[in-house]
Amino acid sequence: MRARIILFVLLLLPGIAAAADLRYPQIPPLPKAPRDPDNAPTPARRNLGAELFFDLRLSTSGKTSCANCHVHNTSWQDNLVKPRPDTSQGGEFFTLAFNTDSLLNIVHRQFFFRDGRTQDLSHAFTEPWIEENQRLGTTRPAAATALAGILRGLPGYVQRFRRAFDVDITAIPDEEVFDLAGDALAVFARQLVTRTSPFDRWNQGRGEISDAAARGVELFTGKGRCIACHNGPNFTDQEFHNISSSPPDANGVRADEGRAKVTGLAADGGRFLTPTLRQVTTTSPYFHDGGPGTILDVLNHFDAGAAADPNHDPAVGTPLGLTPAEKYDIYQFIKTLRSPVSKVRGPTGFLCDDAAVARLRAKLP
Amino acid sequence: MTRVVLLLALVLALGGVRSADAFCGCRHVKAPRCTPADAKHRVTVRVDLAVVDGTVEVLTQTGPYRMPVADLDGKQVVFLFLPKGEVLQGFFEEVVPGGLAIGTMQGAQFTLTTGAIFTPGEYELVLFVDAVPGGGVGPGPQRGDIAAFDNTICEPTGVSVRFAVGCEDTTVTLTNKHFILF
Repeated sequence: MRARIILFVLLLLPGIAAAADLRYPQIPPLPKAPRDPDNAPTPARRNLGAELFFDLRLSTSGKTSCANCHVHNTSWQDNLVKPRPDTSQGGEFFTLAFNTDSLLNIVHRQFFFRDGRTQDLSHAFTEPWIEENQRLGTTRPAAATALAGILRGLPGYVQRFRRAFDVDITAIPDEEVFDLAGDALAVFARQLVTRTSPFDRWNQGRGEISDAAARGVELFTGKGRCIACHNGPNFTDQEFHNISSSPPDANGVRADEGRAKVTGLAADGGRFLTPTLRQVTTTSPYFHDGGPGTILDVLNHFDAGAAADPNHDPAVGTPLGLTPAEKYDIYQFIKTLRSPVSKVRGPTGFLCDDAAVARLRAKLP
Repeated sequence: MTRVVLLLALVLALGGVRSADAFCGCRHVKAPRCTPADAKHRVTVRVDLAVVDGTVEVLTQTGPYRMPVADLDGKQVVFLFLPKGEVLQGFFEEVVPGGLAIGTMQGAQFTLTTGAIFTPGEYELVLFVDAVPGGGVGPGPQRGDIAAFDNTICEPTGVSVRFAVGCEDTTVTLTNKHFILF
């Protein structure tokens, strides 16, 4: 009987820990990554996704893969103001219009891209083949035909798609091949998650953070009003806000209309998806266009409360009155959101360093 | 039998925790023991870019880009030092005391030696050349500037070059492979 009680308690331990009171319940630890019931995360799909992710041949120039901008060992982003992914697309100084988004914790997101144009992760991964990133075609059908053509010409990929999805990509429509490639990439990307951070542990009543960081989280959730948008386990409300990061010019035109490009609503002009703050100290520069170079720049932007855009969100539209010491404390808190990144598996093992990526690329189909 | 079940449950519980926390770990590099232990050392920063036909080759995300040396000559070089793993986020409290300087490129070369400010250990060197006129150095590297990085190490910051200081003065040499075009 006693043994049964001990066994019962042992099995309950994780649940008890998860249910423990949090110091800040509005920013809890990340839950386990949700599964996609329509796209089973089999090893064959994950491995195919890894190969597609790092394959430079799947672009117009033959030099651009997802990994060019979503760099495997720097939080799956590139630290550039705006990426310059493919010099074949229009001169040496060609850059994309937006700052590269980190792929970390993408599995916990409800919207993809800063304008939230899709809620389908598989779909999101096919977009760069249509856009200027890898530009296999300017329309979805054209890009699908180009991609399917490349993949069908490589017997190894034909075999891998058969293993992953039980289909013959030489016998199905181009757009189906395109969608399956997106599915494989989605399975691969669902591995890219952050682990428990020092703040998460402290929030659960175990571990320590500095006094400055403890003051910082109080400011974050109070005077700083950061919590208005950066809440929930992934520090994002998964909503769209206008923070005057792309205000209209004298003619009323914004450099990037943001969410309005998707909805067509004037009220959505200049609204962008709230980004996660997990790992954010490693993903500079910030905002949709890489405008602010540092976290201090971001804090100063909000502290000024300058509502340069008529659509500016009233929740963050007035000065915060933060002192330099308070900004430093908030930064010390934000640093505690940095944590180890999950080990990511590919067909040749864990993708931990450049040598591992080189091994994968050497064995591409 | 009960003990076996209990043991199995314990292994499952511990094993689950371990796999959930699995990450690409780095080998910890121990700082050398020096005498005296608190002695501080100088670091010489050398930018030494190879010139071919009046241009230097730097990186972009898709491959090399040839930048005219004229775009670098006489331009300001900004560099600072941070503790290992740190990223400059506008808070200069984080910078190694005395570890911020601005110099001038001489063609494709630059050399400057710091004061004796480094105890043994690992550090991050943040450095960029303000190649595009008008941008200034305040906001950090802008489009067209070149910045140093090294992503070949374990857990790089993506925006700096990591180096170690031992028991004596150290030289950090940055060549073409360390620079990316912003």
